[in-house]
Amino acid sequence: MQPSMFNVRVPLEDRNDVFLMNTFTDAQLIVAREVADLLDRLEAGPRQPWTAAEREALATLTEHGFIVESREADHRKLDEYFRAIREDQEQLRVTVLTTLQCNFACDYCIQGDHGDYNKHAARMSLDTAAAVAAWAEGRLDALAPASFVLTFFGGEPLLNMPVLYYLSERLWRACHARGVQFHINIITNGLLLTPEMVDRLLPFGLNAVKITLDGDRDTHNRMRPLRGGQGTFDRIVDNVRRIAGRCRISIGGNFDEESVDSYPALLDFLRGQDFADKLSRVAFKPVIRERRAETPKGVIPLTAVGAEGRPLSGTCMTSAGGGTSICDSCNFLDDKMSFLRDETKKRGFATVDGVHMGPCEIHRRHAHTVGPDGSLYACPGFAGDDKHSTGHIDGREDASRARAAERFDAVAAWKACDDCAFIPVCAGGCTTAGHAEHGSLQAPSCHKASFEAGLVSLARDAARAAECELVD
Amino acid sequence: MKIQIVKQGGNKVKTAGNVCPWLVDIGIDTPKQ
Repeated sequence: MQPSMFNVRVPLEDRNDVFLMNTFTDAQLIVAREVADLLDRLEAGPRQPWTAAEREALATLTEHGFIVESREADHRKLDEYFRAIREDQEQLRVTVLTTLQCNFACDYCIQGDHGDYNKHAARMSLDTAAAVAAWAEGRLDALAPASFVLTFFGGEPLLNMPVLYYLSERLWRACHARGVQFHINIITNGLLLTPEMVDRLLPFGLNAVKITLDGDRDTHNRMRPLRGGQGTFDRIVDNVRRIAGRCRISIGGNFDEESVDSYPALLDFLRGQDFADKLSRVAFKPVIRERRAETPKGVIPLTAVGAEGRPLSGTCMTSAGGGTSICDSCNFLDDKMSFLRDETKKRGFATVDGVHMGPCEIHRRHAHTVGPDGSLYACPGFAGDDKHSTGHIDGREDASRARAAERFDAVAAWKACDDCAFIPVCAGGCTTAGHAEHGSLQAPSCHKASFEAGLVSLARDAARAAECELVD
Repeated sequence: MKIQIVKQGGNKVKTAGNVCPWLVDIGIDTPKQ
């Protein structure tokens, strides 16, 4: 018997306790230091006679996965875990890019309303949407999942409402007829969002809308203007207010070294709004612009960026971030991520914990991204780039797509992560980021320091909650 | 020896993975069964 490689711990300040987490089982404990020491003694071996109290503690630790048979057993379980995720049929997930067109001219994106991009950007036709629906119905019949999650993304997905309504309504009917739960998510810049749109989609399973605000009013208006330079902040906020309470709303944002300091003001602003308590989640991600040459080997961003400023395939850079590369040798990203998480929590908003990040959909066989022309992709980060298409909804035989499917089927960047304790919640990080930086689908996108920072926050929250529990 | 359970270990497969936690995630868990 030995400690699991997935154990992580945080000594709790001002008390003689330690927060223990096993990232594989997700078990979380607050234990006396002597219990944590037991794990160290077990690691050091050889086996020693344990006291009755120690044996009892070891049994509890074993029950929660902190002690395993061997390192090989940990690796075996990890392989089984990823296999189970890959083959899981409980949920069918489809992300549809209704269009690659966008009505914004974000300063970190060369797509959207810049130049003549929109004139040539792909847009799904209703005929293709019908074919997408037929393909999805085929997947429902083949898998018989318990639920189906349809996510709309782009470009700006609301620029193609006929397709969005058509797919929502037809696939709701398809799920209803098959006894499958159906949920719709929309990732939008929020400019065209209306209560009427939300009300029309709610009976068909609208679950949540994610909207991006890149800092306070002035910063957002600078980062995410319309083509003519007009600001978009006021209108987006007004739209959020009008739909608040009708469906779940998630606020996202991309910060860089210049804009990050405006985020506390954005949080204050949001807290002061009448819809503040109706926001389901607020979470921000970094976009850092540094010269590629300064990027340390093996350190790549949480947000994927295209080399030399080119867009990442064809998907919206709102979420993918922008710039050219990342330098995190100064720990800027980890510090700021942690800072903004704390600031967000301080204002009473739910946010990500920074630890439970993955594995993402690229590791699931039954999660698909569909481009405007019906091409299939393993994840939104590769959508729009033909050479990364893994198939097509019409089932066409194509050697290039078959090779891409094989490549994506083999994605397991975490195998290069040795015995990292965060593998179960990271899986090697973002494949799009790893590929953008290293040109390989098998290159990990390592951001261990960010997970560690998240873990410290998680431990603090757990300690606070545990104290309240003891008081109660 | 103090051991306070904050969270029981569970079946990770059922809870793993939103669309894309790194880039485009909706940021809200889809309701479970």
